[in-house]
Amino acid sequence: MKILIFLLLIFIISCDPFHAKFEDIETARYYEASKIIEPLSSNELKIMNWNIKFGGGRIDFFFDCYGNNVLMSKDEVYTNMEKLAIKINKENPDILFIQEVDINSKRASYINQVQYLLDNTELNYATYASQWKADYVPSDGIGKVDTGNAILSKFPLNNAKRIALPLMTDQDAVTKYFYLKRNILTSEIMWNNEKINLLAIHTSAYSHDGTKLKQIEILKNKMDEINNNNEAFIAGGDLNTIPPNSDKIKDFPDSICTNESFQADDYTEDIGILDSFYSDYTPAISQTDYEADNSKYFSHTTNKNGFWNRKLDYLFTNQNFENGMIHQDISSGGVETMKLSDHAPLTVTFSFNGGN
Amino acid sequence: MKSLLMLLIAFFSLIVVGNQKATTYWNTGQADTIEKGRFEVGIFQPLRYGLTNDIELSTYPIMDFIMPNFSVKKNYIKNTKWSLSSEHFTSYPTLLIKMISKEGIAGLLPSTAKEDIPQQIYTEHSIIFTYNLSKYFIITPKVSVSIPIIFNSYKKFPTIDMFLLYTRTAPFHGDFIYTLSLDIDGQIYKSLYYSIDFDYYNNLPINIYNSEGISSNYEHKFMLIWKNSPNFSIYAGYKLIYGNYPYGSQLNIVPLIDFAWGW
Repeated sequence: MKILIFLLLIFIISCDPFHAKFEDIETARYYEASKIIEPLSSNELKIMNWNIKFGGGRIDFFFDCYGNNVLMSKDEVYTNMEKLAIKINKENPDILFIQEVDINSKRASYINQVQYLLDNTELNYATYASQWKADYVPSDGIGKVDTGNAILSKFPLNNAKRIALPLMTDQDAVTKYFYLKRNILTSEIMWNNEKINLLAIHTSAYSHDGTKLKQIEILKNKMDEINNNNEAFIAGGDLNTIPPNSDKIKDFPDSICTNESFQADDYTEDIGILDSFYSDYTPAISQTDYEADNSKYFSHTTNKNGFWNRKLDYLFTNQNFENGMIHQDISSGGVETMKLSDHAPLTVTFSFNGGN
Repeated sequence: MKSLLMLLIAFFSLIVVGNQKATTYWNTGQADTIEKGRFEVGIFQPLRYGLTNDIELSTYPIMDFIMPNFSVKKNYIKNTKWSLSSEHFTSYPTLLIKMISKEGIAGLLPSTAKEDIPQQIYTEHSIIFTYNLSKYFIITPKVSVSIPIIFNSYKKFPTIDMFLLYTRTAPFHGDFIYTLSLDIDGQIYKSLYYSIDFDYYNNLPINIYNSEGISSNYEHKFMLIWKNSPNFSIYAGYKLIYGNYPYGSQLNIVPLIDFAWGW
């Protein structure tokens, strides 16, 4: 009987009845603001990156082990999204990379947060790639989920693709079927008559089998490929790893989960993985600045009552970056971002080599 | 893993209910009742027993531990061409809903919902009419009404916005649901039979629990049945679901397979 049920389970999962699978490469989804605002011409672009925690603000969710919340009401989501939009409008980026943005999840009351941000900021266009999608996740009361990476831009986005990244290998078949499936979202814009390739990523947070490192390597390979074609790129997102030569690499005090599935506070195995990113390309926050004072560039903590205690969020380019900043609080960015998400936003000014 | 398997059994028990005739056995879903003294049971089908030649009792045995349930089918008229019955199902779903409000695998609802789940009894009442055109073509229209009876003060708890379960658990939230069904069954060749059905679910215009209601939901099922003997049969097919959920509409297809025994 057990074998029969097991076979049935495999049969069901192989048919993808919950629409949880992806192709290796898929066309990403496109969105457009309800009202298009023409951008002003400029020789610089402001780039922003932010993991917005699905508009969850500082509600304590079960996976952080600080609380047991799973679902949010519409009011909670709209209140949090409004605060995110206020900060985004204050920065008024030309291009925004966001991670953990929900477009159709029960936990976020099925509010399309990509469309919300388009309609409530000066950004006009967006592309989106799911990193976790299932008609129903039968665990913890999560239910339907569709969340992922998005790129929002004032300029039209083209040729958007979702490139699948390796999945974690230490999960059983059922867990793997319903679990997060990471990706690189790629898009292109034409700006000042030149193409810029945009690559957005959010790597595995709880990988203990080397999957995250493989995902980061694939991003680096994509960056190298574009660079070798003499094209410009801006790449980044939440890499879930810390910069080279960080003072602290494990045992972060905000990581209170005892369940190994939700532990992400030891980066010992990651040492060296970002070295070539820094040596080959230009980071938003230079290694020199970071090494001078790590804490100034921390961008993540799970403890709403604490303060940012590690840097997980990055932007890189093969062109010029200036004025990189992590918006940690009033003194760096003018807003208490600790209340808005479990990640702080990162901004930087982009220009072409040679000042095009 | 055990709780997930139990959940799967419960899940399929709710959906794999065959309906075929042209034999005097394996005719679940039609107006005819099982013959006196006979038992039939499937992995995902109920245990059915012929109390008399016109009264059939049934229950989902595995489900009884987590959702005690019982059904009576009474046949009123039966001749060579057609048959008319009513069926009355009742269950106590509170235990099951609390059981699936949990952390981890098989947590269809958040653990925090547990305290909001009311004591309730679910009832469903059906009129079933079967018309036997030939052994190759038997049609069975059916009308059902689901009536929830909620005892203590009703608090909202999250709905299960999942295909198949959304309509079937809507009454647990105070929704009065009616179902219009049409089943077509018949023989294909020797022991091989088919079963096709179409179901339409919607709200009755009754709302005493201030529930949110559902809108039109459609299901279609196709199954091939191998009626090996009165003692054993195999079912295989699919179910297609077009549902309107709180997030919008969606189409899903699920494979179905079952094994049944009779004596």
